[in-house]
Amino acid sequence: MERLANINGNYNEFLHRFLTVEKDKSPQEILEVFRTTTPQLSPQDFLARLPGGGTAIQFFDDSPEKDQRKALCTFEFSDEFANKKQEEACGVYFSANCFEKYRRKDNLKLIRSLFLDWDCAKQGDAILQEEIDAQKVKMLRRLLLLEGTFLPHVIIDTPHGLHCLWLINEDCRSFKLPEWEAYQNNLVLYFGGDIGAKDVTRVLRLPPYAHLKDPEKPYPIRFLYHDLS
Amino acid sequence: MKLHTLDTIAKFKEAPAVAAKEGEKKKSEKLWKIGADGAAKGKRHPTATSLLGKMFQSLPKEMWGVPVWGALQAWNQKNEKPLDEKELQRIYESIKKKAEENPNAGQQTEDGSQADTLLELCTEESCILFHDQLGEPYAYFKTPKQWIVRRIGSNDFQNWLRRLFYEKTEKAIADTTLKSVAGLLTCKALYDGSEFHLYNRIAVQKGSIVYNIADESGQTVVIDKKGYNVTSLKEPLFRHYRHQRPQVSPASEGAISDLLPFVNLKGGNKDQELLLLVYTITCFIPDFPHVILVISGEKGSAKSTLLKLIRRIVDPAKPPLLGLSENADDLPQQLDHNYFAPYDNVSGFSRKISDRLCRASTGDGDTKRKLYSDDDDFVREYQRCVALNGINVCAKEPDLLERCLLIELERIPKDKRKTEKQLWVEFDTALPGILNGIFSVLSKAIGKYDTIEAPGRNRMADFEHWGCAIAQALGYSAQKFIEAYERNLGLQNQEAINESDVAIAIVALVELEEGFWEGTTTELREVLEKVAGEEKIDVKDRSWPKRANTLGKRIREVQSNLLDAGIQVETKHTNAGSVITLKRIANHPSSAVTEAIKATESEKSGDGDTNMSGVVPSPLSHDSSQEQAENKNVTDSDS
Repeated sequence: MERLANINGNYNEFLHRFLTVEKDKSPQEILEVFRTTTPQLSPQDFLARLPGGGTAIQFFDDSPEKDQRKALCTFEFSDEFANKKQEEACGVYFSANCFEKYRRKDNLKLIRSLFLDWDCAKQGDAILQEEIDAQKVKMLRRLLLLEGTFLPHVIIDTPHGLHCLWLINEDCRSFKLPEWEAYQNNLVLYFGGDIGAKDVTRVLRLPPYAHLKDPEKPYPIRFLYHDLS
Repeated sequence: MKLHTLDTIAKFKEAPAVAAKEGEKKKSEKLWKIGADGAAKGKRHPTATSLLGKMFQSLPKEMWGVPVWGALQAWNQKNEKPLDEKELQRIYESIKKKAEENPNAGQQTEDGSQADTLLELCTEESCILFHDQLGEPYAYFKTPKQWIVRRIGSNDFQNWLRRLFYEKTEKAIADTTLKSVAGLLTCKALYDGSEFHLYNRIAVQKGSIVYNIADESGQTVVIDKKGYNVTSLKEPLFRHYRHQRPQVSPASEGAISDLLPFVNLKGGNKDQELLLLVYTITCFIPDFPHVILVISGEKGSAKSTLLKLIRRIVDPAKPPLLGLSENADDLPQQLDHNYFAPYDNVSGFSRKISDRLCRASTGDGDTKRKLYSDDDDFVREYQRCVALNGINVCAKEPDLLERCLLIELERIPKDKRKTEKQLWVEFDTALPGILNGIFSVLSKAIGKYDTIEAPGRNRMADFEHWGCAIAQALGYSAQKFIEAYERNLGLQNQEAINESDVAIAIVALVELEEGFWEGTTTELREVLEKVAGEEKIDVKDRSWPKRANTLGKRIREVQSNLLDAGIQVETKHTNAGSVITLKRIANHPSSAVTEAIKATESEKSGDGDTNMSGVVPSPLSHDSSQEQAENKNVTDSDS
């Protein structure tokens, strides 16, 4: 394994892990392997590794009340503050792209990524956890093995699906917004992601803060894969 | 971290085909939604049936028991008025029974599932995945006719996968899925597969030479010192390329000399007969520096035919002959793919190509950036039998000539000409016997190789050693071969001198100065220019050295050829500059070679004996060891 990682970095390590563990392990077990073996970056470390700066940190009320007054956007991350907001049942998110002062289209500073919010079920759906896990593993296989060189840089585990981030280079960053939106739209269609989650101001769940939509079962958000070295 | 580029995200420029299925997906989502909310009275039965149908279709069979039943019960509890447990169980059993009768149930039909199916089939079909000595991924798999080796990314292997999938499922596999599966198999071959050393046409395995007949039954000829036998391969050993054609099986009798009636050597030269036979047999020995066969002769002397004949014997292919590209970068692929690389109608080539050919003979490696990659290398490694033909000797550079074996053909008289068809019918009849002769002689030569003592004086010492063993196995003496080879080297040496204006001028100068000249490099350049004028050498030509230091370089290129021609070049570095001494060496072994050249030249002019071997004394017939030791002390020319 060490040899593989040295040759081709994370990708082959994961690829190999898939090939070796998949046959004799259930989807739940495979996901557990990913959750436990992928280095869980601290929020500060993770945000620092995202190119371009200007990452907005967003807090939304996760509870069924969806209290708008609890919503807050900041550009300075504080672990202490995030924990405090979690106590208020707020989910913690980060912006996929870079902004100045406000997380609005008009304040867009840099387009740095394409992203995917993929869910195989919705909160409260009558779907077995086994099936959710099986679908997640299937999607992971697609993302990591079946899409050739189009590998995501970050895959985040959410209760009903995955959040993915593909960082793009300078050439792509010069896209005009409508052009980027076309790419983003097609990507979401291609992967069967949430068609409502494709706007440039979109935020994704920030690990390790919990998903709190079901107050009785907080779900810790975790990295399943990242290549941000 | 490698950021995505316009290339890697290009597929999202257009709306994907899956978007068309969006409506279907939404319908499916709606069904789950109903499942989540429960169904109204009157819709409970159809909803339960649909939910069960969907679960049985998409979930693996091991989940059809408790998990599906549990999910159905959970759904039932959400109904305004839940169905009776017994009724629910009846629906469950009924749909489950139907699902069990449906062979497609429990199998998702999307790409991922197709990939799984194909991956499983690959194992079932005993497809062996491995990598070669250069770390390239390969598959060894069974076609309806034979087991074959192909690169995993090759069209042949992908077509085999397509066929495999269709045979088992009667469905066509998507191209994207096929690519993905090939990607996975590549990983397996690289990281889980064993390493096998792969050869082109001829291999060495456990001390034996293995010749690939490359026919439909996968036969090979294994040659060792005990003899040879035809067997089937049990493991991957050879690469295969599309241009390669199968070889015929050897007959039980016949001799390599059966080749000679098809060849038109100049004046029936016995030296060249022996050298040609030895050369042809050495082509069956891989992994050693082969001499480069250079065939010359006037038009109508069947130069191309001789190359085709040797190609047919050693490495049958279609097309049989290759054209020498002007671009040296095209050569590595040709040389890698062709064990025997015969270049037809070569009139001249650049220094770069000459260097490539030298390296191909003595063993070469080549790395190139892989297409569509930033930093991945594509590695080639080869040591090949190369042959060239042209009206004149096309090899010009001294270092290439040193590696060559020169064969001269003469024009075929009108009464001896045959039609192409007639020639090949006769040759095809003789070929199995010729192969028997080659394999038998080679077997004997392997037995003699370790015990034979070859002089090893020449640049191609390995060829010399194998040549002695083969000559003995052919019934000649090793000495006869050495004599013939050294006379051939004399011809090469003369070619090298004739190709260099500086060398011609030096030979003339030494002749003029009665065997000795000494002076600085600048003085030498001046005096050589005068001699060159008398020798009608164009000193305004680009190749003529315009400065003293360039003259030093030109001399260094032919220094060994001049020495072989009996002229020693010494350079001493003094305070006043470099002083060059040109000296004729008395009784140099090359005197025999010079005699050979003279004999050949007089033969060319029509007034000499046609058989060199009868005229020229053997260079081994007098003791030249002391002078050779002296000759080794020749210093470099000026720098």
